[in-house]
Amino acid sequence: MKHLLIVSLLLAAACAPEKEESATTTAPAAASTTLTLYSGRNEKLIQPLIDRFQTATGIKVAVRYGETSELAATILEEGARTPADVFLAQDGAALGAIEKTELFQPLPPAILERVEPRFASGDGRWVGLSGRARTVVYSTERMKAAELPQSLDALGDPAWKGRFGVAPSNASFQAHMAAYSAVHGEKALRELLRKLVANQPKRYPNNSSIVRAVIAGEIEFGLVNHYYLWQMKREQPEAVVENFFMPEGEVSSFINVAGAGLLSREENAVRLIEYMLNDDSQRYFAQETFEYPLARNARPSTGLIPLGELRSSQIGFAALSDSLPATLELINQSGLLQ
Amino acid sequence: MSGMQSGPAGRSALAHPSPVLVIPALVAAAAVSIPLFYVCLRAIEGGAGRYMELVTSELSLQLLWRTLLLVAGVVPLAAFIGVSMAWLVTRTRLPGRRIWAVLAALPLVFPSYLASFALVSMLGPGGVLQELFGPAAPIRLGDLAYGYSGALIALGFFTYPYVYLMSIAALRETDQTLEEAAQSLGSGPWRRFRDIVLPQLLPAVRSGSLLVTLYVLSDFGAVSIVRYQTFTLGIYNAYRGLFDRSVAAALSTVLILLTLVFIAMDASFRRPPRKRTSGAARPPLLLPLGRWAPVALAWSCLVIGVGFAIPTLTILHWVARALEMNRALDWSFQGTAESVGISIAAALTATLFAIPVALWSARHPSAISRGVSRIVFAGYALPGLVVALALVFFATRSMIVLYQTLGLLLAGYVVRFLPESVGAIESSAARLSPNYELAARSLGASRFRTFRTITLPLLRGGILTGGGLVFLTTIKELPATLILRPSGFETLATRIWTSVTEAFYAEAAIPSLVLILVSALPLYALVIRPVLGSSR
Amino acid sequence: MNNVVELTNVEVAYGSILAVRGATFAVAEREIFALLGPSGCGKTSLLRAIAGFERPRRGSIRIGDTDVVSEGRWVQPEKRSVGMVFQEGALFPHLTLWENARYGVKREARGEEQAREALNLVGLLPLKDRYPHELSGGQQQRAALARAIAPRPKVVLLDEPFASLDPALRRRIRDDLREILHAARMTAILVTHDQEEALDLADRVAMMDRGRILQVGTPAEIYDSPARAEVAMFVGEGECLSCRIGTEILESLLGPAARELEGDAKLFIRPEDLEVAEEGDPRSVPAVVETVRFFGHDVLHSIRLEGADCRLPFRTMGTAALRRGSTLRIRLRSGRYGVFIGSDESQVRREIEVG
Repeated sequence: MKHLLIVSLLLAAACAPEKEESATTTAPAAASTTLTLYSGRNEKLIQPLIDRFQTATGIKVAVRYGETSELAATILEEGARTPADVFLAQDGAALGAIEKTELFQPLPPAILERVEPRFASGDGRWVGLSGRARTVVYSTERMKAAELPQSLDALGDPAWKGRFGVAPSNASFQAHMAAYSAVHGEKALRELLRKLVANQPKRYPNNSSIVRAVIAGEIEFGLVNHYYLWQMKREQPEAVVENFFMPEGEVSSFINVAGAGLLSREENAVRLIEYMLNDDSQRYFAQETFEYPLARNARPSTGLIPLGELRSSQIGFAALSDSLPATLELINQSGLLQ
Repeated sequence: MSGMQSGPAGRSALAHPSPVLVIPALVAAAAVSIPLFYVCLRAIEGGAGRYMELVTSELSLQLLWRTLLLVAGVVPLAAFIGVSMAWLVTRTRLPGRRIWAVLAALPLVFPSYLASFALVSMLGPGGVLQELFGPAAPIRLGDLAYGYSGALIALGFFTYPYVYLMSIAALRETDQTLEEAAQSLGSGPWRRFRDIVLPQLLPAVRSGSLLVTLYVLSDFGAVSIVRYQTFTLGIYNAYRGLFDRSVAAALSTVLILLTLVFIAMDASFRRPPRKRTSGAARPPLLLPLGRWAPVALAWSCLVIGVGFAIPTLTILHWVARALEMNRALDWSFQGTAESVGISIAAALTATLFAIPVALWSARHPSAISRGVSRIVFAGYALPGLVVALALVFFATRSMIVLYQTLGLLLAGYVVRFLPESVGAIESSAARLSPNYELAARSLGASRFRTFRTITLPLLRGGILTGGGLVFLTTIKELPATLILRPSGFETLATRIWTSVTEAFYAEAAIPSLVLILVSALPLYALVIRPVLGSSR
Repeated sequence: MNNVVELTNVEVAYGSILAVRGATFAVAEREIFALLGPSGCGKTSLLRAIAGFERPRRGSIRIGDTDVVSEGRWVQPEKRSVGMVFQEGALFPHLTLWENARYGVKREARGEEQAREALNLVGLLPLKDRYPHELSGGQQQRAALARAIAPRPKVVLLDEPFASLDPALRRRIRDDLREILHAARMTAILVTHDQEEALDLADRVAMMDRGRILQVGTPAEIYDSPARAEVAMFVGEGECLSCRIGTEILESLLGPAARELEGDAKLFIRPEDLEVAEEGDPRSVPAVVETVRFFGHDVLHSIRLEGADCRLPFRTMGTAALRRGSTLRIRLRSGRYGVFIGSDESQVRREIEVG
């Protein structure tokens, strides 16, 4: 019996997460603490950057991946006792929601200065790292750009019934809807969601599976962030898919940011955010994920329409985060998730 | 004559159970009940009005309707497949029936998320079928893989083994002379089946159906993949998609209630059918199938094709692709070790608590000990997702040191799977005469020495079976793992899940293969072989 | 001789059910003492109370020089120095015979020697490396006995030790048991519902019924002078003849002694007390043979007295049986007869002389 107990304790200890160990053995010895990062950003996109950070600094990072809204809700539930040091979100509105609870520590001015103020919180509590625009991805074989819906409202047209895909549990979609609500009001959003549900779009867990589905011919087009197309094109250069930025409607090509906020006073946490804004990382966002780097001196990948040329409303993230909770309720009640 | 029946139920003065039994058993009961208390607490935090509004909202009613619809579809389907296969392999001259008998139990090896994903990726757009046939692939077939039909197929074809195994056990216990008597009275095979076999099978079918029902109520993986929103998925979506977690808590209370209703409808769910006690081990009459043989064979092929061949071939196909892409070793040793490690730890912890619970109720039956055992069994009926949410609410409110630790994850597994271990140990304790322990005591052995040298070795079979079952279910567990795991901790299940939801087939390949191989052995040794037996 | 076990007013209860009431007796050194009674009479509860598996509600138990149960005192079973032999042996199935025998003795040379001696005594030393399931039923019971006596307990308790054996084996094992107990100089308390077993094996017998000890005595005392009707009926064959059947029949059977009997008195008659009467014998009554049971060395008949609804057992020696339905006259042999007067609680026994 005693042996059983000891063995089980040993096993439990042995199972402690030390996944990153191999990555750090060659790194210089550094702070012994492990940073805890809540990442609402996809593991595929962000883990390589975190591996680089660990190698460069020797700081271990334990990452909890999840949907941005899920992790935001988790932080809200945990309150000041959250084990997270940094929250990495793919949506400015979710960052705004945390900011309101004053759980975020202020960021050092050196970090904030690297980014245009419109891509950071007014209070300096979170900072944007990369930008993305909402777009329609479509198969050029099956559709012409002119035939595509020209605005979010147009998606409610029964003509599109069953022909397109959405990722309703994904923060990018949620923030898009929150932006629509902030501009047009909750009532209008409720109506839009009703029409969307009536059109029976195919539901996907995330943006990349929508792009895959378009390539596979499962659907004709889908509502996604702009950069998934480019990643997919690198894997399958022969794929005949394109982005289409819906020209009409104030928030149809809504621009959002992925950003980060500090949840502890941990010195290394600041370093992680700093690291994501340095030239290398910003280049990573530009060249590897095909997002818009937000540091002032960084350039987007060639071939992307410059941010300034995209038509998007000027609603601030504060307003956006105000409308987010109600938007989430509306999406949940709408039946779009079923 | 009088030895055993002297005192009512063989109780004795030693019926003052030692605190060594009572304390861990009470802790186990508390571990099950306290988190549930927190779910209710969290659910009504926004006020009773808000709670009622949430519970009676259109969303909640829709989830209820869709969940019931799925139960109503899956249970008859699983019961039909299970009973028909059991009957074919035990009572007819089905060609190769011994092989079919084993094959038909194998779908148990696939966790529901893997099975349904295999179906989707085989039939669905962009799937194997399309890869093989190109654009000419029957896309219509792919639509079947999603929504209600998808959930029905995935759950029906992967849960029927519960009915199947219980039916086989029951069929082997049925009194052969009844069938012979019916035959001598001139009744044909179908009438015999309807009038004699089926009534004897009913208790097993009922218990099996309840297990299927509980499985459907708590399934998270399959319904997520085929995108059919039931209560579990609704709770998960509310948990992920809303800042207000009281919605998820409120929906959880409805699901708990729903589960309890189903259990109350079948109070017998705790007890598996008893093993045959009398002799009469004559081989059963085997019915020649005659011109029905091709039909029976086709049916068996369909069942095993969907339930076993498709997922197996799909995984092998992924493995081939992973090897092609040189991605096969992306995920190998570390995750497997962590997965196996935490599952062993869960099995050991569950065993440590199960022994006191089982011994207390088996050796010292009383209202309290039975109550504790019943509370512990309730954990089995709770969906893993609800257990996980409950533990999160509990830890964030009252036990923050446990939050996001392996300890809490372990607690989740134990709450959920403890009954498997308790059940196995209880049934082996029930078969064991308490006189062994009394004899040891009168020979001068202390309680501890008696436990160590007599009780423990004699319960070994039950302990191993229980621990093995906990290991098996833990290593496949998904929803509770997703929510409770420490940041950065990954099991085979979560790794497969992430790859699968991202549609990175190749990455899911090796973990899936490993998961299935690791669970196949205990499954065969602990579940399939004991039921099918070696004598046949 | 010293008393090894003494019980005073022991009462065992399960909730509201009283299994044993006011049991008092003492067992002397090297005595074989039997608790005899029908199933459910409380004899096993009493044995388990002595072993320490039941906690008496009241009373005291003394084993050797130790009060193991008394007011405010309770000694755990393992501290009582009793050896227990269970009905089905309860040999530890995962241990060999040797490991079983050694279980209760000290882990030192002397203990090992005791275990060896005990196995030798029961004649199983050559089989010491076998597992219990490799032994026959009789061997298992002997092994259980060896395990119980190896630690040299003050008393060995045997709970229906022969119940799981078939009848032929039972008698042989019974002889073995007696010899072994004597050879080991053991004191033993045996529980049984089989009167033959108790009378054959025990030095003294305590007859129990419905939780009560009705009589304690040697087998001869119990058989010849049963203290109560229940004892008389349980031990050996016999029937109570109610004195309400009519003065005429009574006087014919008993002669002048019939006048001593009151209305509710019962006369106890064993099969061997009756004999066929000569034609015209005034002390005889007519009877009809109703059933005939053939045992080989004797025949047991059930006869109905004419003119009364009363059946009596009647044994004839040898193989000559009476025919079913035939009539005859029977008479009571002369001698002393027990009469039980009164009902349950206040029953008393008297003897009458039949001349």
